[in-house]
Amino acid sequence: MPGRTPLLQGTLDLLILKALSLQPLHGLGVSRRIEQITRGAYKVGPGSLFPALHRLEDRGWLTATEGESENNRRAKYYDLTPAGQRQLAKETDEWKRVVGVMQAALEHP
Amino acid sequence: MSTLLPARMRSLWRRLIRRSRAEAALDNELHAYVELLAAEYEAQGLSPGAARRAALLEVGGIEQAKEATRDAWAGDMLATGIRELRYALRTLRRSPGFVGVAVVTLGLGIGGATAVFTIIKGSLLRPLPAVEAADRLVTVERQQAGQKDPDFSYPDYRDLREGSTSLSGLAAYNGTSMALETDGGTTRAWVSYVSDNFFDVLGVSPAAGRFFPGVNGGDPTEVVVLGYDLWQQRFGGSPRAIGAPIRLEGIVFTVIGVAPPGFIGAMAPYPMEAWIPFAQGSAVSPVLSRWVDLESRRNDWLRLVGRLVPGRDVAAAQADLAAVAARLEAVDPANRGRSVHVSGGAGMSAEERARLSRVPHLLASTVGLLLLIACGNVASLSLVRAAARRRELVTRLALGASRAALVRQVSFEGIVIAAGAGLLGVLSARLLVQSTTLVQTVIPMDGVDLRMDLRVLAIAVAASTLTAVIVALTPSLQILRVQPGAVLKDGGTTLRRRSTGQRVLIVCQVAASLVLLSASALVFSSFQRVLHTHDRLDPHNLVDVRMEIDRSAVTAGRQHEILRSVLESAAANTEVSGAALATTIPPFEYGSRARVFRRGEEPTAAEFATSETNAGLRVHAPRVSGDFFAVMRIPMVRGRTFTMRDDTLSDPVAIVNQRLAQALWPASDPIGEYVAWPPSERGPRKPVRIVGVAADTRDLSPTSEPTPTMYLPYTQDRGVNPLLLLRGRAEGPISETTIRRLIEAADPSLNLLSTRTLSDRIQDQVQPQRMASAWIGVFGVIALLLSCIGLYGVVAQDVLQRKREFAVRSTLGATARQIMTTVFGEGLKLAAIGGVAGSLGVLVVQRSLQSFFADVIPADLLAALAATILLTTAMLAAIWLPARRASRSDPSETLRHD
Repeated sequence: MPGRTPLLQGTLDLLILKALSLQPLHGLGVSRRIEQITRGAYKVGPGSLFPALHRLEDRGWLTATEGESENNRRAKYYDLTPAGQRQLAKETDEWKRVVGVMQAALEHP
Repeated sequence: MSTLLPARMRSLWRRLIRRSRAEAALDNELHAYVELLAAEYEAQGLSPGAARRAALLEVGGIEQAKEATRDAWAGDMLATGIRELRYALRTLRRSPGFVGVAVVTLGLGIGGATAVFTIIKGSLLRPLPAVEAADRLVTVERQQAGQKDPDFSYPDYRDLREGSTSLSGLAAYNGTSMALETDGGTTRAWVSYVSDNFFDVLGVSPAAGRFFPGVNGGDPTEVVVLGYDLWQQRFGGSPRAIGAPIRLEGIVFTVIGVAPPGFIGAMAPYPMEAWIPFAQGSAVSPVLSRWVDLESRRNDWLRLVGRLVPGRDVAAAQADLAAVAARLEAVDPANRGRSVHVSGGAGMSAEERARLSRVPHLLASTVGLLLLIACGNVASLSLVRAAARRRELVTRLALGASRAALVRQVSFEGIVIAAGAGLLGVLSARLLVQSTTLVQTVIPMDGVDLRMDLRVLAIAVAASTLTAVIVALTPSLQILRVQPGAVLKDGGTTLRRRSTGQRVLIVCQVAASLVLLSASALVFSSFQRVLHTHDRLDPHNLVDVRMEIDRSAVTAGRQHEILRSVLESAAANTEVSGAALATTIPPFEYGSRARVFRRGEEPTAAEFATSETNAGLRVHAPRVSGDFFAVMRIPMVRGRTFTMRDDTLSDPVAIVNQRLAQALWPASDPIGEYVAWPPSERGPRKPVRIVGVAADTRDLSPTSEPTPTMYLPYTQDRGVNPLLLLRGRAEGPISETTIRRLIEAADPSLNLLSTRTLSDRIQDQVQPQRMASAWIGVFGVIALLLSCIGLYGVVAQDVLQRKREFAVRSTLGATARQIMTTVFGEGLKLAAIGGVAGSLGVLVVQRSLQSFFADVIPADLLAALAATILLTTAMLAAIWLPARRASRSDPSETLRHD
């Protein structure tokens, strides 16, 4: 994988939720969006993207519907459910807390 | 969180059950991904072929991506589920004793409960079988002075039937046991006498032939519809039965039709075997003419069942019929203060239903207690086992297993045990219910629907689930409390003391088992006593003979003379030790009851006609001969019996039973007192003088008190047609040939109609009691078995776990005897505390049982004592066997092993 930074465990789920927070996307769309919001730091291939998408769908955080892509191809579009939105908010808070704590710890003289 | 579970269930469904569809969707999704990627490359200027290759290269293997996705599908649910299940099975295999006891205890508990519910439902609580839309049927009863009475007079029935608008039909019926004679011989059969529209209202069509004609039709002869079973037995199901003659009570009836299979009439729980119209046109059936008056509004003898017009409900029918009843109040003074009560369902009056349903309620609470005991057994066993597994669980905890994972694991063990118990429960219930040959010896099962239904299965499932929770929860609570460090530090080898919880459980178990066992014993012996009350009447060699005197002889006023010659003829017979006459004999069937008063307290004709309450005392009033009391073995308490001098010329006399004497003259001697009759249309009736007091006889219901009874001499009543009672000298009953010869010798105008031994008569009547009694007996045995298994299991496991403690004590110099004494002492202490708590419970239960059964007597506590002794024995055996093994084992062996 051309990923320049190894993904921290658990961050992929959060990134997917975040990527879908603006609009519904198909699989490749999610991958591209993550690339975009991480400024190219993360590139997610289908081997880890689809298991994660299906797992989040099983948990009730995403829903999937069939739709047409921009160039008229049929594709499965993912969208956040209300539970997914709550989960995103919760994980974002937790992440910020961890970041804050870690930063403070690491900057400690 | 709320959407989580449904979403998972949905995905599980999607991905496991509809696997191929999920596979296809995944395939599409990945191909779409590749194509979208290729489209991007094409947009960057690559040729379509090159773009596709580049896309495939970047994806890096579609199959691998698919495989990874499949792993994620409901993966955390199912894959781990199967893994846990395997692990649970492996763990459980290591403790077969625990699994065996738990599964057997619960299985028997569930099985017993399920079986009892099935039987109750099939016999007492079922709607009428083989009836169309039974939920549209209603029972109409009389409501008077706050009391409900199922019986109506014929004129009232006719008026209600004609006046109602909310019922599409209202039928009348009642039934009794009659002598039935076909080519196949003479027996007794339950015969229902019904209105012409009876089968229409119940919505039944004939299996063969036809039913009764319309109101004004009328058949030229007496007609009968046979029940399907009777048709099979007597006519082999042949169509030639239609038109064949049979005799009921000696009168010829023509068979006109056969009821469909399963149809038992409307007298549930008594299955009727044949149906006759009670009247054709205005002529009452000859089998009923002796005591039925079609025109009187005071002759209440019909029960009513109606069918609701579609769209109307019970409340509408109630309003409708109450309006008719209000009009009837004005028609006849006999109807003053009488209204009607309409309730849903048919086959039993509301009161009967309530009374009968009390038995199931009793059984249901017993079942509940039984299941509780079973669950208690398993809970305490799990507790013992959890303590033993502490080390294993703690080690796994220390190795990094999460508490949730451990709890999930023990939960799976619970599920496995519950599944086993549920399976065994359903199987054993089926066996119990289906072993009809075994059950039939104690319970008549005719016409009982024994299919298990969803509700019953639901009980089993609920019980299993409860078990799973208990089995899982008890060790889980311990896991959650455990401090791994502390346990591992001492290596889990400290001398473990029984936890308080465990001791409380043992005590509770002893107490609960005791309550259940004593309650079963109390109820069982109470029923049994009722069933055997009549044993002292020596019912086996007492025959009652139904005879008929030719009408010409009756018109000639010769019947007293004829009856007297029968008595003389019987007295001369060497096989007969005693002969008597009686219109009805105890135990009295519902029979007619007269109203009586203390002389001077009887109302005037005007008062009686307008009185709104049932004034006076309702008594049985059988007409008997002087030897009746000796032949029936009813002791005379005071005074004299009847003689031939008590005839129509002398003053009327009577003998009362103790109950009636007590009711009318609680403080004084009844001999010489007078009882007065209510005024009748036929003019005043002379008061009767009491000449004797006879002992009470028991009725058959365990719930009722003896009925007040006033015996009258048959010689003072012109219209009687009594039964002849013959007491044999031999053990068995007198043969029918002898009886026939004896009657023919007495007078040629006498015909023998039927004979029946008193024990048969009693058997006929006690069916519901026998049933309830037998089931409570079955129950008690299961409860005893469960309690013993449970206590044994818990105590034995506990003792086994103290092997190490015994070994230590033994190396420190304690003898096997000393160890046994200690262990026994502790066991006895727990048994004693449980026993005391249980005894208090028994007292409470006894008190509440007294409201069901008139005669729960303290002697029944002997049964409770027996139960206690049995339980204690089981408990001591549970201590003794493993303790002896433990105390004899080599202590060094035990200690090294640990």
